[in-house]
Amino acid sequence: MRSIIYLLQKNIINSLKELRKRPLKLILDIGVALFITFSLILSIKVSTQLSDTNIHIYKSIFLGFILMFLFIALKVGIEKGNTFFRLSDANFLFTAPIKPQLILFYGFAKQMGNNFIFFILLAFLMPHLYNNFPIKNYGWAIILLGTFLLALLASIMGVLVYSVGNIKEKYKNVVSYAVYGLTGLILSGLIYNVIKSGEPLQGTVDFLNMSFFNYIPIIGWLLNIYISAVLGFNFTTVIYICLIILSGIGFLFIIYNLDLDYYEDALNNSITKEERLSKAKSGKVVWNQFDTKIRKTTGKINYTRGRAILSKQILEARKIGLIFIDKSTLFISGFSLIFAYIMQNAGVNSLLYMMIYINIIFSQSNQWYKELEKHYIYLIPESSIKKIVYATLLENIKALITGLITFIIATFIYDIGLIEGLILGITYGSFTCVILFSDLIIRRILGVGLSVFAERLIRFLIIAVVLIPGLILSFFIGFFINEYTAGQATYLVLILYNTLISLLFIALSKGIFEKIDMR
Amino acid sequence: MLDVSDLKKSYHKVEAVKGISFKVSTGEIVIILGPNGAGKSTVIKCIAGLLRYEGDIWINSLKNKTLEAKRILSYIPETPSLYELLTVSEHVDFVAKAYNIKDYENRAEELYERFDLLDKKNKLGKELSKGMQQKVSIICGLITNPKLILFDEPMMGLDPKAIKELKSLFLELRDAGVGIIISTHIIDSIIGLWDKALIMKDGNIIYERSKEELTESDETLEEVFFRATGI
Repeated sequence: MRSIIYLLQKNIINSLKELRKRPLKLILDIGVALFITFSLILSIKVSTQLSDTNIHIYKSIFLGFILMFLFIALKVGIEKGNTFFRLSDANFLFTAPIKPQLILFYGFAKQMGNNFIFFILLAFLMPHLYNNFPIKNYGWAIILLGTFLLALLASIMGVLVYSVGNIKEKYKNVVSYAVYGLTGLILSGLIYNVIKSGEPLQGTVDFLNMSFFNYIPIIGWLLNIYISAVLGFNFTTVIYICLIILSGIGFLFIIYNLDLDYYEDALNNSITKEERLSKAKSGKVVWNQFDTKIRKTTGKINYTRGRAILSKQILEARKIGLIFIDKSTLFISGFSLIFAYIMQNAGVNSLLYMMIYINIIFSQSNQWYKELEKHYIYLIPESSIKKIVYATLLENIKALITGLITFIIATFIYDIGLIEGLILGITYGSFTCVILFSDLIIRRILGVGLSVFAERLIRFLIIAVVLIPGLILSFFIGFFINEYTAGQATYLVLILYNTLISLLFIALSKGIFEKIDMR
Repeated sequence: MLDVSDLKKSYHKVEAVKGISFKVSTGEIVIILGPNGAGKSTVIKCIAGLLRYEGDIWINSLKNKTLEAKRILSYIPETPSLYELLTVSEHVDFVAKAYNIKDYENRAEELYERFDLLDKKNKLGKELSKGMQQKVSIICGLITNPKLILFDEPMMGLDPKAIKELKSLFLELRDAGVGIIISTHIIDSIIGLWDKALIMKDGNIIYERSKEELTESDETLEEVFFRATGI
């Protein structure tokens, strides 16, 4: 036990010491902490009136959050609870004379640390919550406490489910059937309600407000803690908090007394986890490629020199999907269309901006980044500009197609013409070009080993600085000549600006492979 | 073939390579030895053009980052880096096409056979073990018919047969006039192979001798290594 505590202690202390060595990261982290604190303080002053409608929506949001959080924790527990561990844990701890239960607790403690991100996200969301719901002045503390308890219990339950499933395959199946069965029941109820009401949003809110959720242990207790942020903290809230803590202690007691042997699974999966983590650490979204079915194709690399890069990308794309459509295309299109359906009143421009925002977030997972991780693109005897053009062409075409598909479907949602839909699709494609090619200058600026968070923030700011002049220009020009161009001038100016900026970035990137370090 | 002059490389404030100079002639095998963190891999990556650096690196009188120099240079990294979605043969096709190499198929078949990859030709990069990935990486490096090859810890993860094949390949390439740089910290792995040895420590070359010079001094490479590095 002492060795594990030592390990945890050292991890925390050394990560704090690291901050001292990286003053820029420290400054940025302090900046973010101050921003969160101020937004919390300012948001508390704005409070909406208490009404049945906003209470119902508030309840639905947090119940949905609880259900999703618990489902993910249990799913991870059933399928790959061993991912609590890194390869270093497998190498050092599994071989050490330490009880497997203690090592499992160590994994759990680390998992808790990983859940910390939810608190940051919640803190960011707090002003929005205060703006829309009648949350008490001290409500933010209750919401954070509720989330802490949820994360704590979800992690313990994940470990418990994993431990039970590890004893016998039969137990694993039983636990799996129970979790998926319950999820299926809840989803069936939700779908039934949505169909019955005919209004997706209202149907979901009505279903999540059904009183029986209050009586489900753990779920009901957690929900009531969240609700007390609006209705007020009282003795019942204390009881619910105690019940959650007692449940956690009970689960931990069971885990400690189980006969565990999970090292083999953990060792195998920790290698996969290392790969995923290294991708995530460098700011990439992992599209679960390990589980993707890979098609056997008879395609060949038909072109030479720089064009061979494009040819290779097409071959890779054919193996996991259509050439121009993959998981990210479906996700961006799907998410954006749901957004369009819900936020119909905000207008079609809001959809365009939302898609650009998602694009920026996911931009570090695209093919261009993958090419830069391998040494081949640096060594291929071809000019930098040609290598850049061919390495980004597929990604640009994919974005254009994503834009066209999304906006053609969106024409039905917003009741706009097909021509406008097509122009909007092209506008989105042109934004992708700028975001992609901005990376060329960002790489030169950010060659200083910043943290992922700091790098993302600076990247985001640079892209914003590049995009904003185009938006302002399009607004002014559109204001004067929109009536002569059937309202399309704004988009046409944006397309022109984005194209010029993209070409400028390509021209500036001459010799980039000689000027940047391979990461 | 290769002329490295006053090469310096820093990572943030840490000087990884502190102004080193050396040459590699045509048909010469140069080994770079050194303890972990000596700067061996950094030197190799600078020559491959993967890092920014100060100083000069010339390959056949061409700046190492020019296209002409890249055409005659190959690099086999320490950690094999394959495309997850390309098969073994597709990797070779890709590299051959990218370097515009014609009629490489027979050479590729010969290399598959030498490295026991004939039955793995249609396996995806991600389905291969680390050792097999290393073999693919070596084949990709050889298929471009380079005049200078950089091997960074090439024996890591290879099975005994592959090590034997690789060693005989080193000698064949040398006889064909190819300049070879091998970076390693395992002295036993390159005994009998090298023509010139460089020993690095803390970013400096602290020892440079040809095989003949070492033979005359009546010392083994291992003895020299431990004496020079003080470990």
